[in-house]
Amino acid sequence: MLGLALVAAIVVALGLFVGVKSLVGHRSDAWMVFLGSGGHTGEMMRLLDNLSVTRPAHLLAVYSQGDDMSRKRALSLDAKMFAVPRARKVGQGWASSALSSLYSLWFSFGVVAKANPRLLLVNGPGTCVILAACVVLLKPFGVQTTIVYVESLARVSSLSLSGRLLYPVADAFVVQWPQLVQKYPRAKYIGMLV
Amino acid sequence: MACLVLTGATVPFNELVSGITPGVVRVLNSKGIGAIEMQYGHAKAAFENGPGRLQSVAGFAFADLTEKIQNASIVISHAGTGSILDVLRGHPGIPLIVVPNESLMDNHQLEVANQFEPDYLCVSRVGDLETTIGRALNHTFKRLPAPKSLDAVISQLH
Repeated sequence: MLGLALVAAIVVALGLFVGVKSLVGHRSDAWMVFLGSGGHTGEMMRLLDNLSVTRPAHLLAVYSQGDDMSRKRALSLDAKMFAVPRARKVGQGWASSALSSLYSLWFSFGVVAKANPRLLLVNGPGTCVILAACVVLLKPFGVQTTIVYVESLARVSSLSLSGRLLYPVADAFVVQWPQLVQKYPRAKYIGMLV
Repeated sequence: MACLVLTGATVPFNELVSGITPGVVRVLNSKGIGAIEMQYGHAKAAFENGPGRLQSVAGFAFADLTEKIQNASIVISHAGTGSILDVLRGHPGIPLIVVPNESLMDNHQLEVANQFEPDYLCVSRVGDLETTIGRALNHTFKRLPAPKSLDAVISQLH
């Protein structure tokens, strides 16, 4: 009986592995960027504007469903665009945030798996953590995306919630005020980026 | 000479809209600034019941600000990081006064504004605008250094 259950468990696990693996697309040279609305989108547009040698040939722009401002600004990026459900709306309670985050994760999982981008560039808010979580969860299935997080210029002496969550997982964690490097030694400071 | 007032596009900042009083307008006029243009955003009622009644003040809810910033000779703005950047990058060296929105409970606004004071802007409370305008017009502001590129970080990763 135990043996049968074990075999069944292995079959299910293998099935899941193969299933998820089949979702993962070919590794792409594109970057995935998240336009997080309002000031986040504004800073992201400036970050992208200031790139020269590392500017990728292809961009995948992700924005939150209903964020028309970011959708419009993404049009100027000549990027492939994806709208994903928001992890959390401003003022939303914790229980309801957990549910909407799960839905957002479920939805984004497929987007990230299929795109399999070379780099994920994010600067908050909440939904960007979901995209990074997808990358981390998909690592065993062949997604090799490098995660770059840039903290907002508005953060002078403490990190945002997204920043605190992504600090341990980002491959590069960049801040825009030198004070933050003393508190967060993994952070890189090279000057104002926007 | 024109003064541009930016009160923010996301949250209504009634205090700053109403803060452009006849007294503030008189101070601006006395410094040779005859036209005041205000982005009142979602604070239309505050605008119409206040500065909108004054002859030298014009208002709009939302618009592309690039040209308006370039044409202004002084800007009074809410302390949103995006607006501060738009002004400091779009019109380097222009006298810029920022008024933090104290009802937002967002200390980050004030924190960022303080980082840029006194080299790049003056921070003011609404009630102090008359004196801050004089101070800002007599001050020589620095130009913000060009932004650094993420290239330096990203090229190390690959």
